[in-house]
Amino acid sequence: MPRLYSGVRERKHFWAAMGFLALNLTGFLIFTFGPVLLSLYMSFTNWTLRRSVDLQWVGLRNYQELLSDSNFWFYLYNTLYFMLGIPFAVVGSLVLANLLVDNMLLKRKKLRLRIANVLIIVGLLTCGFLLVGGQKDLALILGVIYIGAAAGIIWGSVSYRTMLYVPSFASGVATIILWQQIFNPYYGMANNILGELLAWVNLDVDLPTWLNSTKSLLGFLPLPATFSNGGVGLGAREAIMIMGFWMGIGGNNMILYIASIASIPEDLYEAADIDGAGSVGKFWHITVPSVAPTTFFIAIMATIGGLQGGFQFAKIMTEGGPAGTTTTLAYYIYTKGFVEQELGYAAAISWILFIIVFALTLVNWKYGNRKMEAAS
Amino acid sequence: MKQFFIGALVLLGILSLVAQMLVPAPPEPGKTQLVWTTDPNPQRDPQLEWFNKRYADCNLRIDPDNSDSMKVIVQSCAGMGPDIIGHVGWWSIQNYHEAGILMDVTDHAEAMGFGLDTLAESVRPLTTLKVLNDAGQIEDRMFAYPCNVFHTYLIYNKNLFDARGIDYPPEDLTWQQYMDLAKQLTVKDEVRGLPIIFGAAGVKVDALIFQHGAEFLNEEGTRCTMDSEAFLDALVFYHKLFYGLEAEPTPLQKAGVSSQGGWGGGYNNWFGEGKIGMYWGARWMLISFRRFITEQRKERDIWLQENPGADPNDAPEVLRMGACQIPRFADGPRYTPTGARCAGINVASPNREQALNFLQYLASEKYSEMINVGADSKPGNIAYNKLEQFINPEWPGEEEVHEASLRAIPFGRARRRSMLINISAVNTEFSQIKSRLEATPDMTREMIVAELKRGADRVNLAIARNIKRNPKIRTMYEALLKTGAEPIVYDLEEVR
Repeated sequence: MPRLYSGVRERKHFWAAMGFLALNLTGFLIFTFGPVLLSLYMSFTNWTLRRSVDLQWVGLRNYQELLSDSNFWFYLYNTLYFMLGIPFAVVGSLVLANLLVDNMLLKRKKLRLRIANVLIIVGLLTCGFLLVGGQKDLALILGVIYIGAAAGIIWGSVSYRTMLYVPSFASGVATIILWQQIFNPYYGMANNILGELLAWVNLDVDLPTWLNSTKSLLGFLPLPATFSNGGVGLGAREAIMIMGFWMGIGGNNMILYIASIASIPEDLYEAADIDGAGSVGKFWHITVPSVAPTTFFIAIMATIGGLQGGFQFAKIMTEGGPAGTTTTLAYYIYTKGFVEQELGYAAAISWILFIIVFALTLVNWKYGNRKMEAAS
Repeated sequence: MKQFFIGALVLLGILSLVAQMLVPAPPEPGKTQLVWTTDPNPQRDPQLEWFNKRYADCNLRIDPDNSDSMKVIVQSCAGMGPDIIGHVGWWSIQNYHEAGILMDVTDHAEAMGFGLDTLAESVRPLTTLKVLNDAGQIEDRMFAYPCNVFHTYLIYNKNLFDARGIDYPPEDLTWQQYMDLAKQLTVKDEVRGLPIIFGAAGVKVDALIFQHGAEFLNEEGTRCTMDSEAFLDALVFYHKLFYGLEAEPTPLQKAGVSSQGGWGGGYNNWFGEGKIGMYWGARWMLISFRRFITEQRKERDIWLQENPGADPNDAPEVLRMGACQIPRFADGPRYTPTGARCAGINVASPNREQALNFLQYLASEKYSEMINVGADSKPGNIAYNKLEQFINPEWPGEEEVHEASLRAIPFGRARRRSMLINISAVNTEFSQIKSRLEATPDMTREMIVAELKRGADRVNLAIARNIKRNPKIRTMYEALLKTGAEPIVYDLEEVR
């Protein structure tokens, strides 16, 4: 086996490659790696932009204070709470990808157009009647279903993939405003539908107030008073989780799963057919194990994203409220650093967050890898 | 590939030329360029024009993209800051001062005629900070001058009062009268129980705290007093205004109506649309209300044209405003929140002398006149806070609002600051408590007590830590003790 860079030519190639990389590498070292190291150093100092405070090495003081900072624990709890939605979004993406991987399409174009036209006409009539009858939310939902069905008939599953991917590239602010409307406690679609459903099953309970409520599904836990626990129910956290689920289910994860499922050898499914396996059996025993490496990748990325996330929602949608229930660690770092100017303390929170991310990734790696190997 | 690289090179060359063309032109020879970080308000153009005319050796321009306080601090610390720092407010003045970027203008102000005596007494604390002088004594020093100031008062919608046959609120309004009026003016949607007209809105918690005789810090700033009985009473009353007395929109009600047609975002729009009876306002709000009135007049004219011979009383209404002072407790003092948007000078600016001209300009008659005519709140210089100066003939019917704005000046008050702790830390603690209070309908007095005790304790601990860890703050504390200040709550020996 030839040694690397043994000859003059190889050495020349090496330096040429380094020449191309140098610019990027320098930028990385100065603007990414350097600040990261600096933030580690600063997390052991009393760094602030106030000149009245001299920069001092304070050792582990920031970290010790962090442990007794009730806000830190509250916001960490919020962050972890939001992450409970991740498995649902991942499973949802897998199910969607499995449904949309094949582009099922009727061969005759004329027939497709006819069926689509019928669907649109029926849809218009149905929605029109519902609108006249004052059922605007139901009309809207059925309208979307009819249009979706018509698009599916004409263009196949490609249309669904596109529709489901829309939230990923839609403007975050626009999406947030849309969901604020949906979660309007008095006029929003969420409560209108929920109200109809509850009335249908004859249940007389208060409707959730969503983004204005400190309730949560884990509100039964004996949480400290500083955690703004408003009891059991659907509150601001659940509202944001539902929105996150909607944004995440058809996004990049679905695309990754579609690519992964498409690469599963057809032979496996044919063999399963011969053995008499049903759709669920094939999905559970062939698809799920075959996409395990993708699931592993998605799980790691989602964990990292989940722990670092929540800033946009907190900043634009809720300002971290009500009563801090939607403030995540990322938002806390921002407020500590750039509002209160406690940069050393903010750096310490960042490094604690990094340690949590790293630890969870290691756990994922260890157990996820083991399961992946077993599956394959 | 070669063509691609050549193309990229040409493109970069063109973009560099464009960038070069966009660089602001250098000032004319002999003129000093001054940069003021502020918002691109339409009022700025005449303000800049007049300054540049008056001080012919200066060329003032605004930098609207870098007015965020953190940006100003970072850029100023790096020697790239503006000459004039805009948006110096009640809490940011301390941040700028502690960052060491705000110039002490006390002596210059006296010499140039824009000293503290040109400001109303209630406005002075907004421009000054307590500092330790070389002799080890504590004194008030001036670090900024107001671009405009406000004092909170009550604006009411006369149309809503008339429609219900209710008398307008008296000038000396009490809380009981205020709550009664709010109840009478409130109209609810019968289906959802959500108000479609709010009797009152925009209450300022600071007013309640001050009127209860409470404060956030003690006089010398050595202790947090949020856990006092008076403070507790103020917050209990504040909570009741939302949930017991229904004299203030709850966050839930706000969220419920804010995305509905005709409401728009924020109380200014609600009041302009005739959805609020009494509103805690300030003079700068007239800018928005004038827009509403213009639109409403147009609508009314169109209606009258389209409906000749119809009863004019049926035509769409045009907002008519009245004003009085905010309520006070019977036999209690009347304090009203006050604030200012000030400008300070970057101590590292090479053009400090010229920048001082700008602060002098803020106190001038011409600048004050522009503020007065545009209703951009009130000018800082008290000499130009007179009714005849406020009246704009183009906007008749505003006299009561101007008068109330002037009468509110002696009642103005802002929160205390401390030399021992940055006020933003106190503010963060209080904001959390306030947020919980507003979001929790069933909050009991005991729960509020616990919240306030916890908040005060955290502030007191932070004060103690600052003294323990920062020799400069320790020196200030010792100087405060010499003046007879109350010692801090914590024992410094026990604090890490």
